[in-house]
Amino acid sequence: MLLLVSAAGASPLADPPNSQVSASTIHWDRVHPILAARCFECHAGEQRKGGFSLGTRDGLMRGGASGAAVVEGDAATSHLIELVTSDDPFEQMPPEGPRLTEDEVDSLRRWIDAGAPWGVTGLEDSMYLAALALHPVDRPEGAENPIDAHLQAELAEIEAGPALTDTEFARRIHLDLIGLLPTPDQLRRFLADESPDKRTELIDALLADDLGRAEHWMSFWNDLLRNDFQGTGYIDGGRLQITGWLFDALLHNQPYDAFVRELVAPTVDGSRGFIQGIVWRGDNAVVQQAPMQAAIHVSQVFLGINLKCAACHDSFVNDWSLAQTFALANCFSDEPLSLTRCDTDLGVPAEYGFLWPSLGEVDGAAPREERMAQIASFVTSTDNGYFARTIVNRLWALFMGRGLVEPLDEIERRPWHPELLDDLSAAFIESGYDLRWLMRTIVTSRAYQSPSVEAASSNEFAFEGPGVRRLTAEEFYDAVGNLTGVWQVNPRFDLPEGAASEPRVRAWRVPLDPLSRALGRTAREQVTTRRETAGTTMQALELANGGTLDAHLRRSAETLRAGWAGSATELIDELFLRALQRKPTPAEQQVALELLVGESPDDGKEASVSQEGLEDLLWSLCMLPEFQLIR
Amino acid sequence: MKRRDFLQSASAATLAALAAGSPSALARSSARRETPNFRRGPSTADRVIVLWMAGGMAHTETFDPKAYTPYETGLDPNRVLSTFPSIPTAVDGIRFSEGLEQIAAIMDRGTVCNTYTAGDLGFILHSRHQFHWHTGYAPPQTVAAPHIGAWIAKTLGPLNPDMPAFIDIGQKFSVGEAEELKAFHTAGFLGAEHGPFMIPDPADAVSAIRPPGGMSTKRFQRRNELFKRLADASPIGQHGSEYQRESLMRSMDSAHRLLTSPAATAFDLSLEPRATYDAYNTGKFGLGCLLARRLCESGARFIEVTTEYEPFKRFDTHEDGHSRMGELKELIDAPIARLILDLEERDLLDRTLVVLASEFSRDMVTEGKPGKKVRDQVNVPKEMTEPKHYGMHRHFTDAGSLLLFGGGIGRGVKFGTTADERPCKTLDRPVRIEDLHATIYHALGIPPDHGYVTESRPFYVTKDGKGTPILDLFPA
Repeated sequence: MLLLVSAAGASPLADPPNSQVSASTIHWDRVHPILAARCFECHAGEQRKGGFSLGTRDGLMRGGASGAAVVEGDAATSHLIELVTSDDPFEQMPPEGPRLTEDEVDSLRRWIDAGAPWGVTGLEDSMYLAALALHPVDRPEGAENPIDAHLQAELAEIEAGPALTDTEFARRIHLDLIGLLPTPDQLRRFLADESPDKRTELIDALLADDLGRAEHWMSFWNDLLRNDFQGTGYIDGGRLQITGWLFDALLHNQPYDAFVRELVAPTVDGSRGFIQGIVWRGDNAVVQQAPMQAAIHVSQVFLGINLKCAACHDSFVNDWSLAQTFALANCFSDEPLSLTRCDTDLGVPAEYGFLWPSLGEVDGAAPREERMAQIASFVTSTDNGYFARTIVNRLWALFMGRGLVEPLDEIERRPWHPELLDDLSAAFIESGYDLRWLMRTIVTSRAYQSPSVEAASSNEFAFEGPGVRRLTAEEFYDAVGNLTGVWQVNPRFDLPEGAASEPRVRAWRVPLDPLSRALGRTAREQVTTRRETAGTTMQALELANGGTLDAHLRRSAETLRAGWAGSATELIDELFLRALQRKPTPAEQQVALELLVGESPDDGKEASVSQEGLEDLLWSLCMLPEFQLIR
Repeated sequence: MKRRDFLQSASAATLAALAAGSPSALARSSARRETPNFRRGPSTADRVIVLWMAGGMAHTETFDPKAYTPYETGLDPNRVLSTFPSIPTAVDGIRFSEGLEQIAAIMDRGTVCNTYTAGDLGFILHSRHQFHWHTGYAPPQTVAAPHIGAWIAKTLGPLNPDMPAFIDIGQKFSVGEAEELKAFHTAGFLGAEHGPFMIPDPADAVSAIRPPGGMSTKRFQRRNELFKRLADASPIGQHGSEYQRESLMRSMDSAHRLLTSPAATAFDLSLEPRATYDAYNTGKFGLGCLLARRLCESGARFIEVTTEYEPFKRFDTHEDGHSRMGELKELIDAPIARLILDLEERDLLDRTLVVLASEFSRDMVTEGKPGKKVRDQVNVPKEMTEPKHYGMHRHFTDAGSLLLFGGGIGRGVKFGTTADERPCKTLDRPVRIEDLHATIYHALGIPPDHGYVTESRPFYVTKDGKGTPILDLFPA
């Protein structure tokens, strides 16, 4: 951006270039070795002689004690060039060793004239920048599902190996669509079904479970929209919940574009909380105020764009500028904003505009509500490929473990399959922004119904199947409910009339507690687009030693025992079926029996189930990786 | 262009970590880009104890006494700078407020600084200033800012792998402003693994490492053994190793190791000789100091002991300031002095930096900073008609007391000057939170612009990487 803008003299609100840039890489390849060899010893890392560091572009632009080092695009007036060419022994740089050669100085000059791009060495993809519009894609023939059509080569390889079993599929699809384990009855019926379309039929049945789907997806949207029952700001009205509105929108599968318009430019009170943000009492820097929060969150959540850097200064990690960010924030502001760089008011009024002016202009004279409505229409415009790509990529990542583009909040990067992303995004728009259609399209694909693979750890990504994933905090709690028949208590949200027959209090309806926090649920003080899923010591401590799970399992064991008429071995069979969707092996049956009734009993049928034994068996089942992982 | 200059200096491993969403250390410089891992600089301390005077501790009533004016009915608040007489300390020229005799006696071991100037956050709010103090960033932030303890835990790890690196003693979350408190008792984007191990009640710290809900140790052990056998018997588990499965099993193992490790006995205050226990036991805070000493001995990296924040309780003295300050001094004086002496006796003080601090100070008349209009939150009458009016009730942000001991800090030093007349503000050597943090990091060998990448952007241990260590606090 900086390179092109300063060279072309475009306005700060010009569209970012929609193509790869390679000239800067060439500059950098020449300049970096010079800086590294001749400058970094004194001016990088902890070394900042003269208060100057050019170890980062930030440092370079900040300059040092003797002022600015570089004038972007103008080597002739840049102090750095003056110093490296100076004859004054007290001034010249580097102070020791040979002078820079003419070639070296020339490289520096041309680099500064080009805007001093801070290029990547050997990472050509880092210059990729997704186009605003979706690319028209010719979908390959040969598969009905658009995903499978693009992944035929990958599928041929995958399908040469073992297939995903029906049991594995049932567990995965129940969890992925409604966040619950299949009950032994549901599983039995599914396995006994001989219809060749039974997987699709199950998918359709689960997608038709509006309540189950809404309850499951609440957590995802609460994370994304940082909505929760409690948190900072509520104490004095500086924050509003959108729970009721959100639940209703999910229950009725509101089209995604309409859903986002209500969040960006609310016409009802129920959705107001997202764009209002979190307001703390006291003086807040502009970057902390509601309009800037709105700009940052609309961009991050719906467009996969990170404006957090550019809210303080022209970004060093992407192409967005301070002026562009303020122009967007201004649209959400009652009072006109003034450009503020790193807490210093520049005294320049911010413009009004959307990130891509080609989508349309914002009328700065219009009232705030109208400006917000204009922004909402640009965000959700069918010409805005970033909008569809971002949600397609988020759902893809949830179901498949890894996004088509990573990181999820940098949708401008190169997808590992650009045609697939744009084709699926276009089809999603065509569906009428139907999230249920998108879910269905993904989970009915053969790609999704492939055996899982371990999460990819390298950059060299090739699709080999969905990644194994961990139960989320809410899924874990609900799976414990499935296992024990005992659910959460004291919900903070009442299900709407008609759903009142649902007696189970699922985990999303209760506030964050130490265990759910340890399992990766966030406090939602910030937007969360991906949770921590690693097993940590803190988490294991909470699981092994914490009061939350212990109390729940105690209650569960009491209820289970009271309602159980069968033998100990039958109970073990039932619990394995509920937890793991399979019967125990003889070896497992024996260990489980030992847990349940004490030291190696001869005949489990006669042994009685002790309260403590049942607590310990339930705990052990919940701790099993097989229980906590979805394959 | 200018894209992603932070990525350029990162290795492929770092990029992979970024893609996985986990924060990674910023390369120190492009020159050293092959080694993105943090390299610790020269250090004077290995661990940190923060003694947190929650609620706003008046410097003029503790470590920076000014002219004393006894209470009398009808007294004009403008005439009162301190409500206690001053006492000498072990160091000539340094005086404390009456009631801090034991800390006064060990002042030759440390530095007192009364020029801490709190952030200018407008409306003076405890939890917001506490957030600012503990993270170095004013809320709200679009990135979840980590507590200083989490930064240190993430960067240096525990001294003993069986001990949580960051332990926080004495704060409950069942109090007012709880959500605001929780918001900074967190590792933020660094990940829960580096978050605080919370011990709300030090007297019952042992429950943190005991089996849950009265379960016997025998049963706890048996449950764990049988669980492991069950996991091993799983037909899934027999299919060789798998990363996620291994990582879950490993985390269970390390939790179990922590619970059964000899280091865990540090949490058990009943193992402490009765006399020592009693000497520390001025209340929850005193026992917190004892626990901090024990955890320090066992390898914790960062420990915070708080007098506990609760609106209008303890140092949050909106009335009865004088009498309550007397009680608070009894709470803190003996255990703090004892802690320093015990650390010294165990040869730990040299490498342990102890920092006593509060979110801001108090004054009888001025709210916020002199000359700045902020909303007054405390009703102070024109003249005092009853003893509850006597005390420092307003929130003052232009000076504040810090005590620093050990970890290379100067001994018997007074750093900075405050005015002897109202407003008793900072006259020289102001200490901002960024610089105090930078100083703590400096002692630990962490540069102030050490940072991690989150969401592709750098986030630094001090705000924007710009904190400056106060080198004058360390004797040459």
